[in-house]
Amino acid sequence: MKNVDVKPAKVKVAMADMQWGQNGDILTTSGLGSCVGIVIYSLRCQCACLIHAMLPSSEMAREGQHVNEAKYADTAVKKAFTGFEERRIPIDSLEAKLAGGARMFQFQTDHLNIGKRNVEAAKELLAGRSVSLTAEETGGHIGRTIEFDVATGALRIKPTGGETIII
Amino acid sequence: MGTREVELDILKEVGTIGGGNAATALSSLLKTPVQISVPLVQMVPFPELLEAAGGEEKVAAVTFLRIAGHISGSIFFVLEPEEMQTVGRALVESWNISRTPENEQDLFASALCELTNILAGSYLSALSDFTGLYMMPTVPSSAVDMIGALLSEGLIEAGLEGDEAIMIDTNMTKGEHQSQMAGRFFMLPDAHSLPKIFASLGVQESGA
Repeated sequence: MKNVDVKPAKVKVAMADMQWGQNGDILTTSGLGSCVGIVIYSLRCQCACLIHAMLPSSEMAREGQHVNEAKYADTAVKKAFTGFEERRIPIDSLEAKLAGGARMFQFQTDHLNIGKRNVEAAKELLAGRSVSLTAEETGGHIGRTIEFDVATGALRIKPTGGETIII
Repeated sequence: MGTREVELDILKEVGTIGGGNAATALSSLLKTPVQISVPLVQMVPFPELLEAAGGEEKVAAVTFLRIAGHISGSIFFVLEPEEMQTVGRALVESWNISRTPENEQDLFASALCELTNILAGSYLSALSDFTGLYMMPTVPSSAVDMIGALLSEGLIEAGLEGDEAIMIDTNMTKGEHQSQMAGRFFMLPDAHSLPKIFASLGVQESGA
């Protein structure tokens, strides 16, 4: 499916959204707080999917509500794998990286700690499909903006007011 | 005017009264005239709420609290970091506490929580008066970071089931020249609380 005429692009992924990139594309998403950014990629096939998931499981959706698949880690990862299959990307060539899952507010009452649960859910989902997690930058109390370079597999992470790191 | 518009119009009226109460309280605290108006009450999808607050990547001081009682909801107070310093300084000075570079940020964060308590209390007492429903604010939390990161977590904590929220937006000015105050106050009743609010205001929900 590779199209050599397509120029590399910077692809923006919104909150509760997922997008695909290939060859020299850069996939980016900003304002990751408790949300988790999940990159699933194949260096060999130069193809990647970036998910900006807000919640761990679609079971949290209200009864009868239309489910935006990208909003929940479980449905988003499922959709990503369907996408890799459609693109004929060998599943054994896939790897993953994670960022986000922070805890932004210090609550004094009951706390869902949704950031931690998002990261745990993402890890379980990836392990369940035997995709190895090569790197992660998760937790803490800080917001993050990330950029994934499909060509090299480098994930650049810019924490709010901090130094950019590459994992 | 459709039912929904009538409902939003009533909420705007409630917001205006609450804003007036809050402005009076803030004026005396900050020792400068503060005016608060409610230009907008509408149902908005989440991305539009982020835009209204300044954009997901913009860094701001955000204070978040929950509404508990007969109804539930969330309140966000979004301030530009510079405005947080100005307002924080003014409030802390009124407290007669010695401010050092070490404790300054903590004091400003406390000031912001205090400010949000006042705003929230004013709004909620106006809404209580109109509806006869009991409601009170919970202890606020505040943080300085990207708006997208902060609002999304707050809304998730609020059990964001849908992708839309009722936004009671405010416009704040302060000082003799009524200069724009770089702050936005958003009140977002939870979806299941809306029918209760509207029923107590005497508006029949159509199709609900």
